[in-house]
Amino acid sequence: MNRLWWFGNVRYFLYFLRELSGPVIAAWTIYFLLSWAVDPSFGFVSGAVFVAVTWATLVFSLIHTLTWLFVTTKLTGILRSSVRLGLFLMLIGMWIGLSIFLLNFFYDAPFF
Amino acid sequence: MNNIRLRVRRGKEFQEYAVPYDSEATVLDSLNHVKDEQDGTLTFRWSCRMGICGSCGMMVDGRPVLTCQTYVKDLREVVTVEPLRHFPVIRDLVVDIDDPMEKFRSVMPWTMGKRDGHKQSPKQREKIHQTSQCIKCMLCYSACPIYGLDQKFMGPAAGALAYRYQADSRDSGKKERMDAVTGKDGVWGCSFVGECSTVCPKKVDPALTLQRLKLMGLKHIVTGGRL
Repeated sequence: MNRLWWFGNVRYFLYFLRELSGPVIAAWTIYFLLSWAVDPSFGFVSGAVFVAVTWATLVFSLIHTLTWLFVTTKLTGILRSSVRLGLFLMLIGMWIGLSIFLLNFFYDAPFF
Repeated sequence: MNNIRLRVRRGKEFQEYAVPYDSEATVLDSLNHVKDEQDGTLTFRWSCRMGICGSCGMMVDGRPVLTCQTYVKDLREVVTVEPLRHFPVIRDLVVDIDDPMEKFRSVMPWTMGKRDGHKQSPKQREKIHQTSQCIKCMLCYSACPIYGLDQKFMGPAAGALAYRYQADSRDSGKKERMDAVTGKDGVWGCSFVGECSTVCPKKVDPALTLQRLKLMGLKHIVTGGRL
């Protein structure tokens, strides 16, 4: 099979981005943890490189979240509607909550 | 009458044919025109001409389709026809489908035992209706990149077939079938690309079926097949 099969059509390409987003997020997490180990005071979060990498990873995390939710809607035929709604609300709530917490913690954003 | 150019892959090369068509002509009609009027050596499979038998699956402009259901008027002036992807080519547009056929056999596609005298309510029948529509046309195998990368993977149609019998209320062999489905080259290879469901001409939705099988398989593994 052609190594560039994932350029074959839009759906293959979106699948490839979906799968790639996981390792990108994992790489960012490792980068964050290593940076934190070197600088426990979180001074690195203001650095241009960290900010640029984080913004790029945000794009992949959005791809990851949205494609995962899209795939989940395809699976929802096998979940009862009450479970489905609860799951979505829980996931979206967790994501928003965690995002607000992290923004407040690292950048002193005035959410609290 | 208008003309199209059929660009047919024959071995490593393409051969072009100019073929007249009208508003009702399908790609299969065009291929038959070539065989009857221009080149009798062109080899391809076909049978029912009406989307029931699954014989005429081919790649048309890079997409796996049933050629009897693909109208020439909906395509461009130059139509590229190739054998189905991911299968060894026997000749011209005819491919070797022994591998998926073997995978079908491996999921035990028959009802085992006898439950309730083989009676089935309309609701029970409805549960297996969608997956019963599979015509084994192999378009899903052609669309599946996982099968293209690793032909040990059971594939979409075998998964749909396994689910059709697992969900059948008349079947008593669910444990044995699940042992086959949850094996090393079973359902777990699927990473939900979804292209199989996109190309399926019978709307079987093998992608969703494989995820259902994964849930069944998980339950089977956790309970040791007791439930």
